[in-house]
Amino acid sequence: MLGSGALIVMDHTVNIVEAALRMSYFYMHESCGKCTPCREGTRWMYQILNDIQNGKGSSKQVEKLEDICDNMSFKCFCALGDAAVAPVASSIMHFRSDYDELIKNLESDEVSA
Amino acid sequence: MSEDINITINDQPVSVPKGTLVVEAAKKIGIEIPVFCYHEKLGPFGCCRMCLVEVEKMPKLTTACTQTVMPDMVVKTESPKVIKAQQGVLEFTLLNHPLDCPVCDKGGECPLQNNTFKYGPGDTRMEFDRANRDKATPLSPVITIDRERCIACQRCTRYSDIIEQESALVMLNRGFNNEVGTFNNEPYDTKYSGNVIDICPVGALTNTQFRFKARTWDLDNSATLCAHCGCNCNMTLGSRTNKFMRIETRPNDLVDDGWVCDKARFGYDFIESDHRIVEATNLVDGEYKVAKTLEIARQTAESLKKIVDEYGPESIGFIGSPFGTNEELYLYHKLFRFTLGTNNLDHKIYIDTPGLPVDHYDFLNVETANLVLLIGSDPAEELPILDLRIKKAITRKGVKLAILNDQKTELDKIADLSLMYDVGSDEIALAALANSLALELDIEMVEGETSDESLTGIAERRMKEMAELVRTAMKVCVVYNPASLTGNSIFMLKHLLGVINKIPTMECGAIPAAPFTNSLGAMDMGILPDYYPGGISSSDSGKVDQVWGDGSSLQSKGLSALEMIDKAESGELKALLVYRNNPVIDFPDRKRVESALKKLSLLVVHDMMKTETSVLATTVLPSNGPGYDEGTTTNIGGRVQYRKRGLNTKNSPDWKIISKMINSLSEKPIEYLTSFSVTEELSQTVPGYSEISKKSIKKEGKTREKIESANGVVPEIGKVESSGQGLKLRIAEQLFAKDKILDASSPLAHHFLPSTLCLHKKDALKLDLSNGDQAILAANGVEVKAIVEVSNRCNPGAVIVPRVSDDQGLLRLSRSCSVNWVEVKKPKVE
Repeated sequence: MLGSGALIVMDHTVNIVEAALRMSYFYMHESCGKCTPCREGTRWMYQILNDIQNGKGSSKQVEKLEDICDNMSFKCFCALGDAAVAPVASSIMHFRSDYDELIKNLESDEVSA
Repeated sequence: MSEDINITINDQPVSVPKGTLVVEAAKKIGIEIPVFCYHEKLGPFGCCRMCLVEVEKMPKLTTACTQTVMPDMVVKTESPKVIKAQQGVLEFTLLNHPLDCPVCDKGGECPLQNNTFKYGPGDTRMEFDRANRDKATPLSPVITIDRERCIACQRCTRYSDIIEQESALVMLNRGFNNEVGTFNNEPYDTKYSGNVIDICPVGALTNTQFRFKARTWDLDNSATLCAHCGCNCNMTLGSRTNKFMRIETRPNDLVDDGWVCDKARFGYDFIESDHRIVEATNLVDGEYKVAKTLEIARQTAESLKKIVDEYGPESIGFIGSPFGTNEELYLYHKLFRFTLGTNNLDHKIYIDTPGLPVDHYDFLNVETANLVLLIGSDPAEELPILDLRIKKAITRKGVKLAILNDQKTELDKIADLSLMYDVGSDEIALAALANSLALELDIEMVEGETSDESLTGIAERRMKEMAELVRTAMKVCVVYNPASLTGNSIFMLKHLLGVINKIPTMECGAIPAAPFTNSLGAMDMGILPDYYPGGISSSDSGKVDQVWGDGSSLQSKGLSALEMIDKAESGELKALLVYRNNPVIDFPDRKRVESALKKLSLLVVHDMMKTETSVLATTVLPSNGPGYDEGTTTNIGGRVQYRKRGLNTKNSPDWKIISKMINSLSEKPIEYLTSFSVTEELSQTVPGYSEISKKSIKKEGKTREKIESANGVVPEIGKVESSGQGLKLRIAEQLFAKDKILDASSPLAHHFLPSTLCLHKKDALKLDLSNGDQAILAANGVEVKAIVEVSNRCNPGAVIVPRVSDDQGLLRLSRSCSVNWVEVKKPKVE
């Protein structure tokens, strides 16, 4: 989904989870707060992504993120909610391995500790 | 006119008018679609997303509260997609909602709780700490907001914007940080603020008085009526172990449209006041002795009879109350007219007659009219729920508003035309409007000069504009306050109504908007010196005998309330029974009233609160009053409704006390079993009430039939008192006045205003007074202090003084119900 028609070009060195986190922060900040899914969903997504990015996530949380995306998309009052879903949902869809890597680190850390 | 549209919801067909919302269509066939933000009085909004439904051929789920029905629409409210969405939305809603249901006041009657049980996910997946916000913050002295519980449905803010039109409550901030609040954190204290407590779907907006007092399922709820003003709004009185707990709305679209004012919601402390009269007392050798109520009632009746036997029936009188129920007033009418044989009955100090020459309109007609013509009425202060209805009609139903008044009111802001006549010139102003219309209709006009601007303060051109507005409207609803008219102006007003009714193709009706609970009922029950119940003139002996049996009509002419005071002063009146009225405070010239009442050999006060009058009484009878009493009242729209008992009391009900008085004097006693036995009797005898019965007034009440007024004679303009010392006094009613009902301990005490007088700029200049100055109102040898407010609230030559408390003693300044003059001066420098 392109939303406003803007394109962001990133090279392979970019941490895609961090990029999704940054964008979901943007949407959380932009949400007007009128409708429930957008107001609550954008914040929840940001909180989860923040956990994952900081190495505190779990694979269950990624699945939860996907379900939150489903609960939000096409159910908000305006298109901002749908747009907020796009970076998170598509990053999981196309770069699931990046998420898994962050989570694996954690899981291996736990083993070594 | 509007065509019906057929749709299918969950395979069930339903036919609804065009423009109906899907959520309403579903309700019609008993399918519930869960909602939070949607409220039928506030209209569609679509922010909570709780009501998502699946509509065939629509790509996305849609909100049933914003979607209007379309032909052949197929709606599914229970499909897997919808269930998933409902669970998702509820999970979001509950994400940061505290789980303090066990201590929340809304628990047990909470839409969020109910919807969660019905439609919600069983568990939450929230792994983070819930957001913390301010708990228990006072939004006003009567409303406490718990921002943590708020789900931002915006019902309250929309209420403030759409219904009360104050836009006082708003959403502050944005996104996750948004919260309900007011500009600059000022208190949210409008006249109708309490309704947000009822419409809040969670426990965010709570009643400060009721907080943590009881669980909602422990309450005994009584479907009763408000007894504060003539609207008679429906409300639920909740009590626990016979202790008053709270008031809630009980929507009745024909009366209150689902709202009550703050006086109704928070103004019921008096029912547990220490100042209530709970026992009957007799003055014996200068001391009040308590005795059994019914025994004192019997003695009272016998004492009255003795005075009648000795001095004749003209020597006794009855001052009733526009606050009593129909049954009580009806029985008093019987006691005084038939048992004691006097026509000396009245309940008011202004002049009014029962019946209308046009239709008697109810509140719904305010919305369906083309023009509302407001005469001498200030609904915001006198009849708040009528005020909301007018605002709704003007802003959302396309109704026009014309105002003819002697003071500026809040409704002027939204009026199409607002004309202000000089205080005291109401009769000429009404005649001028009637004549402008009569001239075009070529019918008989009121004699005398009416169009001169110097007489009324209204230019002829402006009055013609008003006449044109009336003439071109197809349906006019006239709302007038008889209590604000001076002298005999009520006859001119009824003449005006008759003239409007003569306009071809005109539909005209009126609402006699006296600001008292049951003033219409009091007139209908014959608490008037010159009218029997149902508007039968006491001079029409044929009709009286026909209704009440031969020999029922009395020869003597009755005395009005003010005349009774005169006669008491001159010693001709020996005994007076005052029922739930306080002449010492509410009648002009306190000193004279007091001395007159002291001269009576028998003064019986039958009241619910100790008053300045009950102190003078020789016999005091307790009246249960609102909360404890039961009976019917007739609101200003002619709707008869049942005021149910909210709390139990051991005291005898008023109707029992009065019937005891009747029975102890009559040879054929009638024993009534309940208040409805009286209702049944009066439905058979009072014209207009034939269809009123326990069954017919259940739930929504029933409109009594219209009472015709004798009409035909074109009234003459009375002599105007054009000269006097100082300025003309106009006392303005104030909704939140410190009186017997709302005392200093009332939660509404913050609304009490200081004693103020409103002057026109010109007069202020002449008197060398400016805003905020201390001034003195002087008349009758009495002085009342007030703070000057220079405003254009009235025309020059008058002073408007809001009646803010009983202690202010404003009526001491006046002498009669017509024009009173008062001197405004600077206080002496000491």
